[in-house]
Amino acid sequence: MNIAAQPMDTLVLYLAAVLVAVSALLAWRLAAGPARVGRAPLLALSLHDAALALLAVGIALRWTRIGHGPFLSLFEVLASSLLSLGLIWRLFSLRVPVLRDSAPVVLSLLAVMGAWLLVCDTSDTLLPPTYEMPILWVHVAMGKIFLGCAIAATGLAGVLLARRGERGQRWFRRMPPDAALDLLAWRFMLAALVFESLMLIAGAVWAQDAWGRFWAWDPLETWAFVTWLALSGAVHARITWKLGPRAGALMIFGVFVIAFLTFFGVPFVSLAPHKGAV
Amino acid sequence: MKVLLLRIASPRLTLAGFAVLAAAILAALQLPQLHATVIAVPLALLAFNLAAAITVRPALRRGGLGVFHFALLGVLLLAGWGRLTHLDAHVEVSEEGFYDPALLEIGAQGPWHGEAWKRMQFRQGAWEVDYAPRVKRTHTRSMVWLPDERAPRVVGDDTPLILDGYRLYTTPNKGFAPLLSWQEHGAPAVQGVLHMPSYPLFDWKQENGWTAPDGTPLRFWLRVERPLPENAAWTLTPRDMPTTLVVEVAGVRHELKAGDSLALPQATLRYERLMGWMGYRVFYDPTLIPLLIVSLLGVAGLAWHLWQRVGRLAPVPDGVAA
Repeated sequence: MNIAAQPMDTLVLYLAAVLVAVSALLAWRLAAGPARVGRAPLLALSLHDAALALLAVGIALRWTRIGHGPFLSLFEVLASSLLSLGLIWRLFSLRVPVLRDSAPVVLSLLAVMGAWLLVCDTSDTLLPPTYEMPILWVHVAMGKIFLGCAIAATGLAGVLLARRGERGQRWFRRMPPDAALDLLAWRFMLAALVFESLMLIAGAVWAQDAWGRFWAWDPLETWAFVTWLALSGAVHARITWKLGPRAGALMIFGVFVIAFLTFFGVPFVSLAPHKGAV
Repeated sequence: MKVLLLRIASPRLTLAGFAVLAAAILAALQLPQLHATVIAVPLALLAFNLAAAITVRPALRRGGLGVFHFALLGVLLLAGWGRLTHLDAHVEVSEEGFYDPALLEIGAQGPWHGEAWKRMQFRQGAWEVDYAPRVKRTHTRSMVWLPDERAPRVVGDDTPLILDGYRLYTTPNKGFAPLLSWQEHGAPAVQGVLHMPSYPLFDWKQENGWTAPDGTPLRFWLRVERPLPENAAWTLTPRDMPTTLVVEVAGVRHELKAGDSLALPQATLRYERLMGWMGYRVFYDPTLIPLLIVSLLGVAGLAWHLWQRVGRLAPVPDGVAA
């Protein structure tokens, strides 16, 4: 790949993706560092904030150049998700400061997306007319908030699982006890259930007038519904079997993996009309 | 009876139902022929489980949780009703022609769906389709005239024509329709259109056959005289396309431009002009709006319940156990 031949917006997005990865490494370094005494990983968060600003600039430049938003290719969807998920998590962490200490886990998840973005095809895309419908914005926004809630919960679940080990206990010693983290993580999962339901409803409204049917069990619809079932099942299982924080954390991770693959995997491997539509 | 109800209402059954349903829809994704039955069974199981749970557990009938679970049951019942009454079909309509119910091709139909589609009435007007470079179809504008209306409706892929609850959408399936006149000597002329294969999908295969009223087999090819613009934006408008109609009669080929006639032993064939035909998707589901309302109500109930239960996403102070 000839980097120099890439348009400016692509280079800005590459830089932002690298910054996300660096902020994740820095967050782990600060968490593991011996000198850390009760301070949130502010430097890593600041770096991540800078990455968010760059992502916004890169997306705006690309939008201006090709004439439509980042809805179609995997490159575009990863870029917009890095921005939206990072932003949603940062907004949550302003309201719930304890989330900042889960930065190593959350930024690592975002770094995976950033690394993926670096190897994606950056070709320009053409917006199909069905993507001009206003309801698509609602559908996409609900999906982003859903995944934002899920990533916040997964960050806490990651801390819970990391604290099974001695190192993890030391790295995340400043955070509240497991039971409190478990409760907070499930609050986010329940909020995720609300927003995923809204995403499915808005998606069905869009699909009705985009493809002449509101639900047809295409691969993305099927996997989005499987994600809803997994999330609902996890909520019921936790209540039914009174599961502890560790089992709860594993379930949260499981649901996140399904949601992640549904968002970033299924639309780009399926040949259904939903291909590329996130 | 109560013991049975308690067993049906078991949350473990709910979890089993979720697992079976997930497995069923993933199996149906691989094997579409399994679809209806395989998914309907676990959904029905979950509906019974939910109804029983609402009956035996007062908590599931109160507040936001109650609204959510009643709405969920409503969604399941409406989805079932929708499957029994829906229609999914396709139809082709010639420009300047009327919708002909005899041409409706039904893809799927609920057993309780009537025959109201036979009563729909509209006349097809002109249409045009925009293409972006690389022959990417974008907007379709299809003029449709309804009885007693003085202005046409404009129908598109995302703008349906709604008639008696039926929603008609344009599709990529559309093409050219040469208008022909056939006049046997001493008899009045009769007119008809030939639907050529979808264009530009089958631009290399614009051919069709027709047997004249006197039994003469005729073969037609439509040659589009303008190359398909591959690298520019353009608009497909059938009546503006320069074409030549090639007619084969008894092994001899004749080329006709719009307005040309071909004298045959028993009759005269005239190529009047080029028009188009549009393929529509016809969708009917009476539960569409109720489903939307009930599902939104359910999510509102769930949000209300969560708000009551957990309050705002309140901060967890350091060192405070839940």
